[in-house]
Amino acid sequence: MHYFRSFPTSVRVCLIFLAVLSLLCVLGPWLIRFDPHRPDWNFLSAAPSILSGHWFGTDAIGRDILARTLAGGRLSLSIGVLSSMLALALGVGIGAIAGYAGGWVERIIVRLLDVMSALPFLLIVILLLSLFGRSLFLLLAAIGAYVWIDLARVMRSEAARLRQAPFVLASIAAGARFDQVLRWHLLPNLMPIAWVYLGLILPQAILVESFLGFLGLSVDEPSASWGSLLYEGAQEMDSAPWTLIFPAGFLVATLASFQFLGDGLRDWLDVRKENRR
Amino acid sequence: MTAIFSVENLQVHLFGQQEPLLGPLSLQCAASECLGLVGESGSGKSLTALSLLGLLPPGLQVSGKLQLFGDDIDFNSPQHLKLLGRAIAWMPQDPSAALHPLRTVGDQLCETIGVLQNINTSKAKQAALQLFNQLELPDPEELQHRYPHQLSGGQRQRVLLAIALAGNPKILIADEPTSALDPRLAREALELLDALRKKMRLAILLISHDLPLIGVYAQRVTVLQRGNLVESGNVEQIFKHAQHAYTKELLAAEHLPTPLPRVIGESILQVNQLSIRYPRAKINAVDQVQFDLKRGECLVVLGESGSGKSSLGRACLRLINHGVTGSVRLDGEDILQASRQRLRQLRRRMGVVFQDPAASLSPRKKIVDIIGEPLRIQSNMNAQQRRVRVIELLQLVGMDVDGLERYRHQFSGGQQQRIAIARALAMSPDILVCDEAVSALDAHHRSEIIRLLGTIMQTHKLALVFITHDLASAKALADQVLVMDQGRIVEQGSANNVWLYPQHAVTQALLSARPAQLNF
Repeated sequence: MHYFRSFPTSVRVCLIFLAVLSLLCVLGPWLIRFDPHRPDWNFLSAAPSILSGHWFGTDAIGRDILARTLAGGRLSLSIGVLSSMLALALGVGIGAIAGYAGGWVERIIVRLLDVMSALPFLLIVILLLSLFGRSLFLLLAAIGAYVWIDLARVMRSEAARLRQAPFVLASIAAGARFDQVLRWHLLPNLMPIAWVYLGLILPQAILVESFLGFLGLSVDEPSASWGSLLYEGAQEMDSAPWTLIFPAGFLVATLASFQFLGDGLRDWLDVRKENRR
Repeated sequence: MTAIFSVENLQVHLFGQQEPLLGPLSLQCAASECLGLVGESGSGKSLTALSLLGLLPPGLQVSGKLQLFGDDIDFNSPQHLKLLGRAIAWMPQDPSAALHPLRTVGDQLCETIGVLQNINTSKAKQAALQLFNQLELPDPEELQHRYPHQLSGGQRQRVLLAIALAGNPKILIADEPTSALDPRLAREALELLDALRKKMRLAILLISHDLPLIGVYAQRVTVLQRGNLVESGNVEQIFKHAQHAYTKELLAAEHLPTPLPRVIGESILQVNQLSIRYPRAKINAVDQVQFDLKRGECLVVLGESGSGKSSLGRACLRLINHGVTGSVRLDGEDILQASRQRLRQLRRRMGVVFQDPAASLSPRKKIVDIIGEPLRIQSNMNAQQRRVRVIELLQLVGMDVDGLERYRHQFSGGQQQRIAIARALAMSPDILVCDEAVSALDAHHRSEIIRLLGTIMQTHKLALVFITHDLASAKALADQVLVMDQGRIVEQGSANNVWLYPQHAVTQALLSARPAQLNF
């Protein structure tokens, strides 16, 4: 709460918006009387209307778009959060080890990172998903593996800088083991940067998920994610544009607020750095 | 005497706050006069300079009556800013940060001359060469095509000075011009400023934390403490009859304690044929060093920056893992050959204190955890026992125990260094390595820390390796001296011998680096 007040307005607005959105997505099933999967045969491709109860309209087989958008959001956001957590663990862990260990360990890891960022990663993900079928676990792993690389680079350079810091040297000179230095000095100093970086990774993960969903590689019908909703919406764009507009609007708003959030947080950290430490 | 610049009732406020950060204070300076502005870090010296230049960062408000060449000028008015560089020039503190790394120094000077004097490029080039010549830079024709990293520290400082003089100013504000330099270079830089002052009738505002040094070159001195003017007057008056306790403290700081007679025990650390070569380096950073240190004895490693003295200290602690040959024996056991397991055990017998006190304490930990860290690593004490020991250590280094739960930024530089010393002493080591441990401190903190180290050596039978470039602190502690230059030992022997009969040119240069004390 103390921090929240000192944030700039843009950050506060974005945080509130994202909180409300996630709450809506989670509580969706209890708030809306329509089931996202059950067709309402009286309203096929119905336009948005307050009277019918289908505020966002329905799709070609009569499913409520609001219910589906919230259900899609639930899936997209949870996949986003889970895979970025995975990326965070990978990136901080491997980056910190590479930076702190130095020498050949560092060289090998950096080369591996270079190779990985040179690969057409999405293509491989698409291949894997079409070969082994669509499983949620594979999807998480694929997205996590796609977004962790940059984080690992940042963490590596930061850890390499910390390795030379006198307070780390003093710890080594006192006889600290590798894991003690890692737990006591590296992680506490790396995590704040990693949290801010999470603001960049999370929208990226959501975007990749939507992209895969749009290609039909995310989740099976009748489940929905924002990506698959976009795909369905694009099919009916001419006859029922609302099926595209509402999910797309939610996706764009979410991504944009993450962007503003990241920018705002970075500035906030920058300005206050001196007197906060 | 007519002042060419004067300021009365100068005050700087943080926007919207009653209590001023600086002032009220009044300064004046005549042509070809040098006014010294002295105080510790944080005393408002740089704020004074920046407000005179109209370069205060946003959020700060300045008030007062500024007069330049007899005209009243509003702070930060267009009129004030127009004078910048032309009539009143600034020489920043850190020459490596103030020069553009990707452009040649000639280019940078030409640009400034072109802008300030409004002349074309070829004329600016001539003027630049002339200026380089005037500042006694070697071979200006060739030097102007070099980049800042290809120059030595002293040369960079001269280039900065040349840029400051590009607009033929009448007033020069030099902000800590010597703090980044070795003593010898510092003296050269100040001599040069002094010569310029006489030749160009410059009014110089010389900012420094080193009162005794300033005293040699300034005619008048103003002493600041926490934003307030403490004392002001001409040099002779200040040095002879300092009124304020703080001024006396600054003056006394120079007189470091003389070494106490020491009880010297058996040999504890033997270094033999120690050489270090960094990867891809052509020459050894440290070459064939050997010495023998006894309990209760202090070895001073003296040398200019880049002489390899810090590498030597780190190798003795095995903080450098690659490229080290030779042996470092602690009580007969070679720590360079010890297994990782054994090395961790041996580390409890060695402590280390680094130069930058703020950087050597973790910003995210409480003092009790910082000092307790070696205990946590090396002993089986529980939190309560550690706390008791930490309190003991804080008392040992002369600090209040109510700081236990605080973070490092709540302490001054001198206190931070005491905390670092307390941590190094946590496991009661046999050897303490101090790598420039007092170089980053203000003068009076420096003498306190040196006094503390001297006492602890006695009470704990501690062998001290004291690495420094500062002759005064070296003299206050040394039993043995080892002078290094470019990785090699150029002189080694008992302190008295080295101080009285220096053999090597490097030692002689170091010993004569400090300007002669004033004979008031």
